[in-house]
Amino acid sequence: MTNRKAKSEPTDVASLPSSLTTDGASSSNSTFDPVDLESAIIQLCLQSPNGVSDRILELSFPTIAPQQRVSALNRLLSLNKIDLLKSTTPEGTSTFLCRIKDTTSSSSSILSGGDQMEKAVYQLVKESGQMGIWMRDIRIKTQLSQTFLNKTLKSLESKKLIKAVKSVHASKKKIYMLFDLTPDPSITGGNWYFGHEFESEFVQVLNEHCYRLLLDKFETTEHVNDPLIRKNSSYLSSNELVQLINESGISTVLLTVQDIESILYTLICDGKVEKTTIYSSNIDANKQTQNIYRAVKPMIESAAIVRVPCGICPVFRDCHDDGLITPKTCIYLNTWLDF
Amino acid sequence: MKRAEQLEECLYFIIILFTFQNTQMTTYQLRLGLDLIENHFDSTSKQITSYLNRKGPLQLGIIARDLKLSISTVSQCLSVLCIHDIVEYKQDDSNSKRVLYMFNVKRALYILHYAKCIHCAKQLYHGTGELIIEKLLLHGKRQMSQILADVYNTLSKVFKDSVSITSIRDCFQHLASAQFIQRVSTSNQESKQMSNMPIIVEEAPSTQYQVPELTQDEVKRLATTEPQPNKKFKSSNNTNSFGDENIFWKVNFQRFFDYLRDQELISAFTSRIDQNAGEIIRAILRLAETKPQPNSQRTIKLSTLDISKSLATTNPLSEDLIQKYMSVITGDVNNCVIKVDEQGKGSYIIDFQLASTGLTKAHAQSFLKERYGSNALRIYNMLEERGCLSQKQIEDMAMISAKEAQQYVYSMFIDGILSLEELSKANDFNPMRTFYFFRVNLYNVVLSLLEQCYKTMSNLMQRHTYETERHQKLIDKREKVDKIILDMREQSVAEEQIKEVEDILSPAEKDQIKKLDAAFRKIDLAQIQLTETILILEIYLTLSNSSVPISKKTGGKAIAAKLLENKTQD
Repeated sequence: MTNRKAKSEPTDVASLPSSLTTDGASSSNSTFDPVDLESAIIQLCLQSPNGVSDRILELSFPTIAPQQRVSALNRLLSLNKIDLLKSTTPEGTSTFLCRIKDTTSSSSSILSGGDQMEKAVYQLVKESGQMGIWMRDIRIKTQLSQTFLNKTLKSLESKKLIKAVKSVHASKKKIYMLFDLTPDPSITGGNWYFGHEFESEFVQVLNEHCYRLLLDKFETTEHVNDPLIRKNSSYLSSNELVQLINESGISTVLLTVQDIESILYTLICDGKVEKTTIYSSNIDANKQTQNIYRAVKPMIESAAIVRVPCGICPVFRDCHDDGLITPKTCIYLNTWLDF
Repeated sequence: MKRAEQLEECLYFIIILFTFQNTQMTTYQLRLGLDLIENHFDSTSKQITSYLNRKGPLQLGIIARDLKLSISTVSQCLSVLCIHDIVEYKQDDSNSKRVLYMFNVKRALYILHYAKCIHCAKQLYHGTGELIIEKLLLHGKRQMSQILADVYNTLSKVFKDSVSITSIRDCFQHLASAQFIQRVSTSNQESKQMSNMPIIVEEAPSTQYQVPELTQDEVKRLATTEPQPNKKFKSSNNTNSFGDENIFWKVNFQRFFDYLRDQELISAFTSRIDQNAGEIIRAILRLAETKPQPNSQRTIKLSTLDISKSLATTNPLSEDLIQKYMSVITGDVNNCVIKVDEQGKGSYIIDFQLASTGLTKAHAQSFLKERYGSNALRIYNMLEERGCLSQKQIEDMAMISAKEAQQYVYSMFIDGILSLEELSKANDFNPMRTFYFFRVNLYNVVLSLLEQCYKTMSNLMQRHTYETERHQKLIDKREKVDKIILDMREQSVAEEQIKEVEDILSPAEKDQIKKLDAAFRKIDLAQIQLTETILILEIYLTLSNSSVPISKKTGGKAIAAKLLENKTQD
């Protein structure tokens, strides 16, 4: 049915939606121009970026002889307009996939001069996206020898097509990704890492600053008589905190809500801050809950034991009735008792 | 035959292990207990109790023989210790007349809390109450008439005529009705045929806190009699009887401990929320006191209206405000205040197990923070919240550099604060293929913290004794000078002469004495404060002893068993 419909308007193939095209972008016209066929194939490939199998091509252009189709494909391949990939059908037989070459990316033009190996490696690296790919994985997938792969990677690097990034988790593990991508936070360790070093000072400063902000909020509400209002108004949401911190200019990089929430988690573990989750409607639609935080006071000032030197004595385990370390001559007790 | 012996040996070990787990007395606790006995009684008592502790229950004769002491000395010491409940005695079995003596370390450690108890009594019942408790603690068990006479004598020396026996008796009555003191009586009727061992029985709850009546005549007589300080346990003087020869009174420590725990809870709420919240908690606890609960782990149900009524006299708050406070309170201090009903504008109970866990956590956290650093506390809290974490996870989540985190984790691990769990992929436990997880357990932390507390206490006492011995000459000299000056003042000798006597002590010596006094004060203060921590931790242990598995390895099993038990109860 659709066949007939398509038949009547063969020139409109390109503008038809893909569902129609794949089903009926065919022509019974035996005088199909090879150039028209090529452009039809390209259109087909453009509409399905995952590739078009040989079978679909056969169905799409049933009137065209296989030789004609193969020569058209060959021509497109030599023009570097499509890629031919090997794939396996669900039934288990192997088949070919035609896929459109990424003409929008500038890299393809640079790559056009390169050899087949570089292309393969480049493709793998590109597929890995922000996460990058480990050299070992490239080697396994491409089955290239170590030396050859090294050479290929070097040449790609020198062309500034890919770059090597070092993971914070394993300093010796090199990860490759496209040159213009920013690596995933899980690889660089996010904002908390500068190169390889964990910036504990930066974390410390943020930790203190967050606590300061919450404490300020807490103190402004301290005079309120109503306990419930006092408690509820001493909360700050993580969104508000992020805004305050980014405005204050403490950090040179823009911090995200996740960044600040992980800082706030350390404050909770320090026992200085309390977290509550509330439902709210006025934030973005996909996130119904909001984390709010407030500073809390400790239950006790300090345990009695830490007010005595013995409570924090580093050699407490070695302290005995007699010998070098004994309470009778203990220097910590001496200073404490002012002797 | 050999098998039987082996079996016996095995059983013996099991019994030993069992007793150790049950008593959980560490060397430091024992040592402190013995030191306290030496300080409070004498060195012979210490010798006896230490021997009893080593050998288990023994007879009087054997103790005297082994320690090469005279029977009379030993029996005197034992009788004093028995009156104080520090040594317990029982008949060997129903057929023999042997009486065995046992040492009770736990009770000996109560001596630590004497100062706190006296202070409590002073705060609640002023000087009279303080004196009554002090005398009772000093004598262990005593009749009311004796104490009244004793207190009257002490007070009349200071205040001359303004004291009356009836006012002291009223105070005594208050203490008894608030259950700070309880009565015990001797009943030696049953055992009379076998031996003349008196059996101390705690009286039935109905009469336990009943104060015997005094007639007007007896009141007069009490005021005039000189107390007999060394009145023997059994000797009854018929001519001077007050009708309460068989009714003895002793301090109810449990009640004092409950009171002290309540104070800690109130102060925790005060510092977390504010003064009013503390007052509300105080009101709840006071209301609960009047209606004792058989299950002492939680208070009775109290409504907002009750609380409001109770607060009306001291600190009037509107019901509305109290309700608001209650909603804030229920979310604080380990959620120990629980709303159970809407009845009476909301009814609440206080769960003491949760409360003591909350307080214990606060103490433990303060200790960890000061001992290992605030980052260590962060790691500890994180582990408590998340259950178990690997080294790597700890580093990432605590946001501490790997090196530092390792240092904190390992130093806590060495001290037994953290425990390690190994999870191997294969059964060879190859380190390369094994996951290592760290865990925390509050119960273990409390055990090690408590041990540290006792050792610290013991250290402070040792230092105190050492300094006293070292400066004995100086202290003696100062006492002599003070006495002379006091005598001279009484005889109203001229100031110049007094000054001359004062100058016997050189300026250097005076400086030394000042320093020594300051140091002793500091030690005393530290010891008293330390008892607060010890009390909280001990309460936590007793409350959680029933619920926490003692052995770590069978943790899963024990929890499963408990779950099963709960299910069957439901």
